[in-house]
Amino acid sequence: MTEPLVRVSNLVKHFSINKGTIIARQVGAIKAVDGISFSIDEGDTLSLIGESGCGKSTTAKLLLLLERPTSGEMIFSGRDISHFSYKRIDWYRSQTQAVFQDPYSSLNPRMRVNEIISEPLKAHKRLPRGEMKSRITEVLNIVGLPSRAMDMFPHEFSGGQRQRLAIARALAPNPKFMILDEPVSALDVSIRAQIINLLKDIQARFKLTYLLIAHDLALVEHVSTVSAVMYVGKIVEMALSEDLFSKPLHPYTKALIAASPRPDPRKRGTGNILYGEVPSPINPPEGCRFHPRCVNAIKICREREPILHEENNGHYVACHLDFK
Amino acid sequence: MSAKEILKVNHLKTYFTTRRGLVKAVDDVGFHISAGEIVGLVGESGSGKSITCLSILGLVPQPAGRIVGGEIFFQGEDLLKKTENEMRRIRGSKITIILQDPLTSLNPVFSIGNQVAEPFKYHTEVRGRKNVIERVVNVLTCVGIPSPKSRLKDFPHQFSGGMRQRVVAGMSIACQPQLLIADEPTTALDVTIQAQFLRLIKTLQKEQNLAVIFISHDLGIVAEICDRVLVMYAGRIIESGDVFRIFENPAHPYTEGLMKSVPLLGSKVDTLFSINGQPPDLRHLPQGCRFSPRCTKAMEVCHREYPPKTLLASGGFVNCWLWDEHYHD
Amino acid sequence: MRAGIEEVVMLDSGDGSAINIPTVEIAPSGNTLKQTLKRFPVVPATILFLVLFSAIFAPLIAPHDPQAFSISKKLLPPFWQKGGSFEYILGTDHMGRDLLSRLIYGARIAVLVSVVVIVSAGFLGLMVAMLAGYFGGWVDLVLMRIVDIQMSIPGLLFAVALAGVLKPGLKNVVIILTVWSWAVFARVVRGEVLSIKERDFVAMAKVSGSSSLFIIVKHLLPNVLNTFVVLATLQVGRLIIFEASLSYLGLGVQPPTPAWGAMLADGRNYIVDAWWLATVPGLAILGTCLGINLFGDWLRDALDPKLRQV
Repeated sequence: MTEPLVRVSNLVKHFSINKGTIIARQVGAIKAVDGISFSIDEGDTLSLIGESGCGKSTTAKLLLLLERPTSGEMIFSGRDISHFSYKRIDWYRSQTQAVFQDPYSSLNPRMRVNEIISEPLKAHKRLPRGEMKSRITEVLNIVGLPSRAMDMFPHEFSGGQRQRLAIARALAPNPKFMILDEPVSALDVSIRAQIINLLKDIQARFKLTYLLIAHDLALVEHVSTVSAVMYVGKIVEMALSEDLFSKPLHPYTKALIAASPRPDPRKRGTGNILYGEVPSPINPPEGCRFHPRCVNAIKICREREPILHEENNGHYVACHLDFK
Repeated sequence: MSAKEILKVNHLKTYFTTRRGLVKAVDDVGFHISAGEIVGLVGESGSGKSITCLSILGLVPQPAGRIVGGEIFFQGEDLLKKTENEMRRIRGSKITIILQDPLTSLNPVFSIGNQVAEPFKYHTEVRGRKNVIERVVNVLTCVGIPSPKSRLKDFPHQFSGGMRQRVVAGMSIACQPQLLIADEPTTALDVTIQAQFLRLIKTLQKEQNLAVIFISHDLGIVAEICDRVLVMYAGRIIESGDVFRIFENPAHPYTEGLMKSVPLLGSKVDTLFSINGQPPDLRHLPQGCRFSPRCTKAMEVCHREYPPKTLLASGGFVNCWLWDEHYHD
Repeated sequence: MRAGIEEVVMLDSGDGSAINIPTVEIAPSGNTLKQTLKRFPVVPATILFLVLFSAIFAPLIAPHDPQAFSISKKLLPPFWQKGGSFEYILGTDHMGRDLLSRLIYGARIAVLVSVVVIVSAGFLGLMVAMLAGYFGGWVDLVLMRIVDIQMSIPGLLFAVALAGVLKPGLKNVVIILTVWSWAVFARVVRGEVLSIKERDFVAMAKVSGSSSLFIIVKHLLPNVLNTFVVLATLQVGRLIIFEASLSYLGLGVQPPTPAWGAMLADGRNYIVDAWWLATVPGLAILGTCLGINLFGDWLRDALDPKLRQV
């Protein structure tokens, strides 16, 4: 079996809360990501689902080397990237790109499109100047924009078109891995489908591997191979998408699915409402982090934190309940 | 106007003068709402749904925006003929609004108790600290804030997003309004919190016979709580109908396209259906039907003339030549 | 001109089947160069042009030697008053020197001060702001404390102290003014940098692999330009007045070299009898400051890509 392209083991990121200005002492920590492990095979899409504070965005930042992990390992293409060495970072950055949520702030308003798209190329000195222009035209066409877009500024494009620009920029250095952080949430509904189709197309064409962060469950099911549900810094369930959504095991996953509104009025009112608030990642509950809101909680849930274990073939869950 | 009808909008037009041309944000919009019904206003950016509601409340940003025509009958009186003072008495007490961002809807420097008390102090005769506090606690309990009495002195930043939105909802219903306008109130909320909030709206609808205009671009939410749906495109309403009918048999190609392009949990498709092109520039609207450049079923007449309203048998209407008696086969 | 082309690009997906990705229409927007020029502020620009022209060509256009004095010709009124003449268009001062010529030569000091000081103080302030804002941590702490110290010393006092150390004269005036004004640039621009740093496109630049230098120069700098230009135009106004104060106190350019501030100071004593002595240089200062502010407003808009077409 081939080695997965991306492998993350016991990844932890704690943001320390300090008091005092000159001499700071740590009084607490935001346990944004508190020990997660997953792997992504080449050509696959792994989705991270969860609500605010679950740690999915932080995970993305860690994988983009925008933050350093507190502990744990990140292995990309067999090489450890969690302990930075400049040469490694450079190489990794040419292999990994990202598309962010907000199309209005992810493009520098004062740069022209050709400068924006050529930035990753320039950073890695991959192409001689002459070929730069043709590469820019190439990626623009791939995302469905005419080449004259090159000389324009971002504000001259609509939200959907800007996301295409962002995708073009990400594609320019020919990466293998793309991290998509809510790539369509800020777009109009009728545009979302266009962008999702585009992302799927280029994934197939260029054999890209995706890490997708999204909160729209239907979208996740449509696009991902594997889905992982996160709650307050931990993965509580992870499985092939078709298994996760058709046979969810963890009570939180079930609650998420039930809470997602279906565009079908006949199905309204079904599903139980999950009460309570998402706990703060500074002081998560003892034992299973979900137990205060869980209708199925039993005594052990209050005492011991469940470990993520393989329940069925490829279907992992972190819960004390017996699913047999 | 039927006895239960509380709002009737006729031929509303709200235009914006910008440096680069006249933007017809709302261009001849008409609809009605009866007491106790939740009407969904669906549309994408630029469709005019938010401006329509701001027009009802007289909160259109000026001087760029002006209501240039139409009538808005609320309980029999035309709101467009009212003075600013009269509108102020209606806003917050008879017609209220919940906006999208709970973070900026509340003033960060005043306590929650203070802010929820405001509508009482301004619109009602309730006086005296004890009375006001009683009413405030009442309202907060109604919207599901746990232990409200102990939280009166807390500030907005001490509440989560979901709780803040509930507080805003509380302020809106404090004076028992007839009409509540909710402009994408759950967009900034997590999905489980959103579910709680939607249930709250439904409860308020039932208990207070509250009419709600619920603006959303999320068809799932609309399906969840709306009774009737109005679909807007480029400043006009292009279809209206009962929620079950609209989802099962959308009449307008745009509505149909929207429905098809939303992924459904549990259904497996290879490629998502997408509507070609983008919404039009409101300064340079196409001739004829505004959706015609993107419509796969467009006929020659669609590009030439704007389709008239066709009443549908199931109630509601659609503006589409495909349904017009002359072209319908 | 609205360009709306809907092209359908047929691409080959590699396995023989073509992928059909329709090209999206894009319509360029924004003002044209013509429109930007239409809003060109003619009057402020004219004032500034006159000032600049005077400064550069002073020896050619001044009717008299600004330093030539004549007791017999003192306190002559401007030409439109009784006793005035076209020989001394704006009258003469208490030493019999032609006011107009002194005004023209005084423009040199004004321009020199504005241009040189703003450029050096602005550059210094910008650099400090970028470094402090982008790198944060110790760099930020140390640099900002220096700025704080600088800003807490009252300007005039500081100038007096410096003047005590340095001889009065033009070169040292420039030094004093530069040291006095750089701090506010650093402080304000750093604030901008802090907020721009958090924007997604900066994170994206890091993800693209761009170096810190590239990010600072190509991403941060152009986006703080707005604030910087506005600040610079405001500062020029303050500078001219500060220089005038310095001259007034005898710490700036020394007489008999004409400087508007000094002329204003001298004119104070004669305000009742010879109102023109104070008013004329006063108007010059006012006009120049106003002109710079209004011009700066236009310049800021002109530099903003959102407001101009490609």
